[in-house]
Amino acid sequence: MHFHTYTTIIRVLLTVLGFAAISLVGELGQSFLLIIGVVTLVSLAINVKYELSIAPRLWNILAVIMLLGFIINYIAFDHDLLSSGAAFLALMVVLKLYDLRSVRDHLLLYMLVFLEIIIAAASTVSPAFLAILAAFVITSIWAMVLFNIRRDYEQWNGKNKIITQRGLLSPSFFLYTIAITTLSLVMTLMLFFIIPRISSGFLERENKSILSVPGFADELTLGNIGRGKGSSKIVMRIEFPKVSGPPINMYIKGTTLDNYDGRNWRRSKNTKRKIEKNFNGDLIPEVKLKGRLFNQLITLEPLNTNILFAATPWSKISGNFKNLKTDNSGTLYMESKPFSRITYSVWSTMDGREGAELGSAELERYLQLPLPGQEDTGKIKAFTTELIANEKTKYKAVRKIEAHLRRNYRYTLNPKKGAGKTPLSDFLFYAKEGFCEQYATSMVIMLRTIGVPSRIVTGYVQGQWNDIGNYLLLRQRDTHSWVEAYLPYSFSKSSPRTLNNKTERMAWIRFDPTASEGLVTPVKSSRLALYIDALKWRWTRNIVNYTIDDQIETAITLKHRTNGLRKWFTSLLKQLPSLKDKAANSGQSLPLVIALILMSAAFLVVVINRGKARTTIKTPAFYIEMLRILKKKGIEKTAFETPLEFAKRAGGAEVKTLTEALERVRYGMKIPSKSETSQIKSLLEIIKNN
Amino acid sequence: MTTKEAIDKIQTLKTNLGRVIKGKEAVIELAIAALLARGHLLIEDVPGVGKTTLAHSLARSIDASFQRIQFTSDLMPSDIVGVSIFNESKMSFEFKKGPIFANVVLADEINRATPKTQSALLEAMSEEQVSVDNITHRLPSPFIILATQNPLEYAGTFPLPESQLDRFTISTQIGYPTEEVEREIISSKNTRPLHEILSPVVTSEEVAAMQDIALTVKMEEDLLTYIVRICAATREHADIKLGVSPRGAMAFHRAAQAIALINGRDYCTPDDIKRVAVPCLAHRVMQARHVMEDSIKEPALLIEEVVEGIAVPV
Repeated sequence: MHFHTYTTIIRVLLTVLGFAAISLVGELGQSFLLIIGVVTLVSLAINVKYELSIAPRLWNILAVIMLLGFIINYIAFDHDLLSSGAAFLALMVVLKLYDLRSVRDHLLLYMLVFLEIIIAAASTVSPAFLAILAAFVITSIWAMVLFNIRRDYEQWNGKNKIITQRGLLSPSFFLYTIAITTLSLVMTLMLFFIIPRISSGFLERENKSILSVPGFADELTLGNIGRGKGSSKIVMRIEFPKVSGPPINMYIKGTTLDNYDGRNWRRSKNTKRKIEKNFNGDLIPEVKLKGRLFNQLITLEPLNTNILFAATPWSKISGNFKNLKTDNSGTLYMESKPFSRITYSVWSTMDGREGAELGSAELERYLQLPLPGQEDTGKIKAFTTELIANEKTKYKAVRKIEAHLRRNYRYTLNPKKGAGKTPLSDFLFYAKEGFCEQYATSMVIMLRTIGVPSRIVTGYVQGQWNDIGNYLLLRQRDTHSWVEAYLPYSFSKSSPRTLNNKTERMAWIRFDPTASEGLVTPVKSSRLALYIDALKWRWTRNIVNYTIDDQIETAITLKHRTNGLRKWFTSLLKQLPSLKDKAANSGQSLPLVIALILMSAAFLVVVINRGKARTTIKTPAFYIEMLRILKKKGIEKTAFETPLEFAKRAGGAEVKTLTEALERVRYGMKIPSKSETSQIKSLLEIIKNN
Repeated sequence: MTTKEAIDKIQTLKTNLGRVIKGKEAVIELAIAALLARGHLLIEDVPGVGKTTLAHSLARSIDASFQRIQFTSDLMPSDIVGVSIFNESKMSFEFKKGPIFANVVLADEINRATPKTQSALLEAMSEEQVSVDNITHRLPSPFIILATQNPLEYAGTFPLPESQLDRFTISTQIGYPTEEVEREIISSKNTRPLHEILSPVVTSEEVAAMQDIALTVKMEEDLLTYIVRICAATREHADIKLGVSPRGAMAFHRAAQAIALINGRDYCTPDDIKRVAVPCLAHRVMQARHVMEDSIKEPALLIEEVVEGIAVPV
């Protein structure tokens, strides 16, 4: 191949890789990417076919225009340096394809591609980036090697002479570099897993794509959650260490709201207090919990709220938090909204019973009702009283209301408008359909009319279990609201008792009045989508957020594995004498068979390659041997010497005779006779002993 | 004729020439190589070192028709190829063959003729034929031109055009004899012209057969690549404006085969190739003109430099 062909290959590869990297920058629009992609490909085709160059002055003008466009775009429209920079770079690469005259122009192109890669590194955590980066590393090694060869060559032989030079490199040049690069990548990966790191991830940056989730602010307008239900944006992923599947009835609590005005829910002001930490630095609640604890490892996407999500009641939270605060609503607050993904571990019993002691002022807050103008509370009260007439305990009454709502109201995300003038009476008496907010709000107001303190809870339920990656995927459409009622609860027994029993403790108990259709998330994502998400997740989990704990875990697993291998091997050695009889029908010898097959395959490869090598090296063995002996004595043949010239320089009749023999065999293609062969052997001996 | 016989015949030819051209075995070998490669020989040197003697001796050693053309500035093309003369008795034009119609043509001091006359040789040299008045006349076979020329700096010379230089397979110099040989030459009592001592030792048929055998000399694949690389490198060299043409490469290949046969082998070695590189290629290249006139290297030096930079296949 021409040297020129190599540089062309490198140029095409780098340009394509640069574009691939840019396409990972999420902020660039699909249509922009499509256009740029097509333009890049067309320009490449033109470049390869015609090597078109535009006038330098025109090029400079265009470049300045693009720079101005970039600045204007950044200041006036985009405001994001990375995405506008990415667009600028992609355009510059295309432009540069029309101005590749000198070596310097090529270097500039490579530089632009490198910047594209850097931008992609700063904007994406996509696993595809790893592949692009690896390919870029290999290709840029090629580019560097070629550049150096060209520079050195031109130093001695004049400008541009190299372009049409053949045979400077063989196609195996690519193979060797790939092998070497793969090797170094593997080594780097190994080091990556072994050496502890100070900080993780690629270049970190302030994440501007913070997901806006409704329902977790201080205020919630009725219908907000329902509107967000269409979105399948991922909000969090939960792993359950040491458990093979997701627990049923997972309610991931976000916040609670207590004040309802007939349209909006609000959280009343109350003082926040710091959550204490134990000696391990883990956060612990004020009330200690008993019972079986479930561990959840939650990874939260960057959301526009500082609320921390957890299954309740929780007994321990560990994570990288400076401070975590809580208030009487039971909500967990971080110090600020997180800018990037956060991962934390929660231990909770998940039974939905939170012990609490409320003062009378607080009790009043949870019994607040909308004003008569805001909601028809009288009618609701009458309806509720009638509904629970036969129930003997408050707990049973609450359960009755929950069951009634669940059974008699249809779940829909697009409820029709009934004849009712206010939202709740319309839902309860006319439309009789709605979604979680209507269900939960109705239940809270119904409970309050009969004197049960209660509040609305927003959070996440259900989700989708990714069995490929073994984690629970919670999306925005899994947002849910339910009810907590303040009821007496005995911790020694598993069922709550009546209000009259003063010895019992009080607790917030979870009720979910929403019809079960509302809890079943329609599974839209295919297996492939699950697989891709699992892959992404593993990437984030094991590469981007790889921690010292993971390193320790990996080391331990490796140790166990190797121990197992060693044991298997020793037992195999012990079995060896009896192996002959077993081999015929034993399934255990499978590893041995596989090992044998692999070994013989490797042997075959070696043998075949050796055969190949013999055909490519035409120099007779005796001459190579002679050169080796002479080299030991300090006389070395250069590549530019003919054998005869070397023989004259080396001196000695033996060398001359051997060289003549070489000429006959090598260039005359004559097969040496037996006497000649023995003569050659003796001559070699003489040279050796001289 | 077998290879062995051919080698013997070449030895005889060599010895025969050696009787006249003393102490110049290398030059004699190159002259024979040009003959065996079906090419033409250009001998370039200062006057009086034996250019004409060598050419004449070679011509005499072959039992074939021989013509000598002394090139001068007023020599016309028709003086070489011949003219059509009106024959009154037959009432038609008749072609009268010129001196070029011979097996061996000695073109003495070729660069003293005008370019027009020099060009008259072009067709004859490459196609072994001449065309006059739209009629093509075959030249006898074997056909070889032995040309001599004075170095370009000498007065009254016209440089040969590149296209013509390219048609000479080998261009060589003779050089001054050594002290010992020169003593022998001047103390010689011989008064006859040197070439008259010589008698033909090969027939023209034998020369044709030897030429055929030279073509069959084995050239190993890698050596062929070696030749191609050397030629390609002359085209890439920074100090060379005009590299070796494919015709030059072909001549180079044949000359290497011929030299191998002269050295008594039926196969080529890298040394054969190196040996004929300068005689075969130096006159075909043009140096690049640099600002520093001092840095201009002689073509022979450039070719040596090129050859020394190509790895020898072993």
